Amino acid sequence: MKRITNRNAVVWLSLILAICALPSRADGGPSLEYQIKASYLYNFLLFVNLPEAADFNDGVLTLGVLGTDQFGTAIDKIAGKTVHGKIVDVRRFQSIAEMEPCQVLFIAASERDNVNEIRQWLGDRRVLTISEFEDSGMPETVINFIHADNKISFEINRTLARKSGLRISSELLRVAAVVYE
Amino acid sequence: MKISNKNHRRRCAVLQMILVFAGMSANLSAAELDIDITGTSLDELMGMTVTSVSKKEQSVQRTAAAIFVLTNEDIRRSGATSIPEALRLVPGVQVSKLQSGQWAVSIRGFQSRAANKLLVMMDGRPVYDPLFAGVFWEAQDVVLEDIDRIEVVRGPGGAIWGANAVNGIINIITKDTRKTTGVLAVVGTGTEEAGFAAYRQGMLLDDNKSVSVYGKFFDRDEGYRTGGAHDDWRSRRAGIRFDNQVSSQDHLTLWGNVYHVVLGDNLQDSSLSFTDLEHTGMNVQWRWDRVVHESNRMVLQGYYDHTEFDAAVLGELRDTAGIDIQQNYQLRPGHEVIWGVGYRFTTDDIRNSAGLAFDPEKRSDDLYSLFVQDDLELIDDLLKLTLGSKFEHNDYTGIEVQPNIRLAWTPRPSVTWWTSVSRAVRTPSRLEHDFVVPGTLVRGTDDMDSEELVAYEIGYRVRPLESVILDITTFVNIYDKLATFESTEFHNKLSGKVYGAEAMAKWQARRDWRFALSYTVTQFDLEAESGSGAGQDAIRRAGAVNTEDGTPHHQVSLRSSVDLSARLELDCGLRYTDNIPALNVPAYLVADIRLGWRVRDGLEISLVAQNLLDNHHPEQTSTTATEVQDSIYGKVTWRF
Repeated sequence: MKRITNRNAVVWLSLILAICALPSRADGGPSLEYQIKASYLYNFLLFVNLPEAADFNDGVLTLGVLGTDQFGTAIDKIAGKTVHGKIVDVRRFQSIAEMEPCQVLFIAASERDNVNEIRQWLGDRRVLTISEFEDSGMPETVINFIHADNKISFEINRTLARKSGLRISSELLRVAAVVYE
Repeated sequence: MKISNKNHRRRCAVLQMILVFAGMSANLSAAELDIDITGTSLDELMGMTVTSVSKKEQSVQRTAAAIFVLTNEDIRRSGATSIPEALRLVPGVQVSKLQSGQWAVSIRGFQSRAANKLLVMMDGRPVYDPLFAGVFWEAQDVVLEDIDRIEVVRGPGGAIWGANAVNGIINIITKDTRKTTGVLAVVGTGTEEAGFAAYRQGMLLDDNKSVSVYGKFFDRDEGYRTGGAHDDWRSRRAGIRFDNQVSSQDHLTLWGNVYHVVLGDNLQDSSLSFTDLEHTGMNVQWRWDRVVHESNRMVLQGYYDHTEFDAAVLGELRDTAGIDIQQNYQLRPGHEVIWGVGYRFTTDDIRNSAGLAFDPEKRSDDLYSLFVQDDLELIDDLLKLTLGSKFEHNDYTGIEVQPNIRLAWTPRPSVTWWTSVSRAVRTPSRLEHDFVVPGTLVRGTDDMDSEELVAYEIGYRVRPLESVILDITTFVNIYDKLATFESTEFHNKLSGKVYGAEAMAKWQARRDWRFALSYTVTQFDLEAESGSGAGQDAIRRAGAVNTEDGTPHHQVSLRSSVDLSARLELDCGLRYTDNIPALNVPAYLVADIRLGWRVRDGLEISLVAQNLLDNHHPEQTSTTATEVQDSIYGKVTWRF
């Protein structure tokens, strides 16, 4: 009995040592979560009808990413694609100070506390805003990513969408976790 | 000798299965985690599962406690049909089925139907019965699809949680009704699941208010026992939940539930006929969450719980009301103070019988508690200290102090080492104090003290790769004054240590294939005081669970979840539990398999086979225990 216990201890100890020797998190490209979010973003571009605005380059659709960018290369795969006859241009803004006009703005989780400033900056610009704020109640952006169980889902603030002159297709409304009218 | 050979063979079988799983996955390359960003449809995205990314789980990374979060998706894909079955998925939780509806659930040993060292809560409302400080698991249920998550803390609950949080805390948290809008209809049947159905309807009343109502029933078949088991389990319940985001700062939640549960029992009464065991109850609860500022959050909650327990040998009517307030206040970034006060009132009325009585028949008790905890970043993002204590006054032992100190070291964001020392007590139950076996000298005693624990823990959490999570905890629990039964009454004459470890690994091998492996080892080294009248025998009578031989030393679980296509899911699980010599329960290895088919959006059909590999096996024994049988059931889940 004693011997077996000791052997267990040895097995246990070697397991711990083996695990401790594991390399730390390898930089293995964008996480699955952000690949999924990037893919959603591409779908949003397809399923949301953006208003025509005079102050934009014809033929270019600018997608801004504000805050700590966790997409890595995943979002760059959207750049250069043609959506509704326009070429997608991806721009990254570290902070509000760097922001430039864009038709679609992704607001990263790191900007949670700066929503009011961002809204001020946006003013009445017609922008499809997308955030990733968990448990925020009625979203302060047009689309908000949430974790529904172990899946990535999103909620839609349709009132804000209307105000921003955005037409959201029924396909997108159907798969949204919650639609706030 | 024969038994140990059998054990050895089973262990080999487990090893082989693990090797097969490992072999299958060795061929998979990390590149297959990549998805086609511009070529994936909304429907496909909706169906993709990511390993533990919930906010709750991320915040767990730096917690200096052995915490595990079981998600709704984990439960759905396991095919579990009850809360105890779902708890089998949690590393370190020991779950055995005594009868169709009777469960022994524990953490770190002392497992029995009367396991009394856990704090179990539904949405923060304690559900353990002060009568025996244990949980009637047969009476605890919700619509499983509406569970948001089950949070399990192994080890003393730290300063924050309420009484009874000695070996662990289980908190079952249901979904905000904003996330349960629409109709959910579940119906199914099978060999052990004679029939079950649940209906839930949720709706948004306006931008801020939402409500959800449900009804649920199930009839579960008898287990296996020579001569018939008579242990069928029938449950009916209904309830409502209302959420109101009153303002951007205030969230109000109301709950209400009613239920009636009947257990067939093979315990024969004096006239030798089988009598049912019934639970009837209702509860209401409210909770007010206020976020004054990100750095100042408050929770105020209250509940009222009425339970009725009716068996041949005993009846219990109980009313419990409680109120708790908690505030998290951030003094400056990296320094947070959490404090709270709570009050609970419980009153009961026992129906005595010739076999078992309580003196007095009626009793009311108050419990006051106060806790304060300080979370301090000693070195920002690197070293975090948690220091706190709970002070509680109860009517059995007066004031109890339960302090703890915890340290978390995060050298890299993906690596956390943590350690803790904590003290916890299990106050005497009404049973230990007041029970009487009529016509004998056997009775409870007012001299009964609290059981005491000082726990030492070391934990390690690491995410070596984006797709791999490892979590290991080792513990030594030093107990003093554990309850013993000495010829006629309970005393506190057992002490010693229980030590062990829990290890858990999750691996997302491919975008559509995930594995979870867990291993739990628990060792006992308890000894009765020399003055203990009947020595080892006394310990046995206090419950074989207290002895070295009364606990399964090893538990292993391996699960594989594959998305065969966007609409087809295959889940396989293997569970091994070591033998329990004191109860003559042999080791067992069982398999569960689930095949789920999403016919179209909102409609899912699943086929679940459980407890495979043998026809029937015992998991615990007592004079009334039955054996668990292999089974299969089909289920249709419809949402619209």
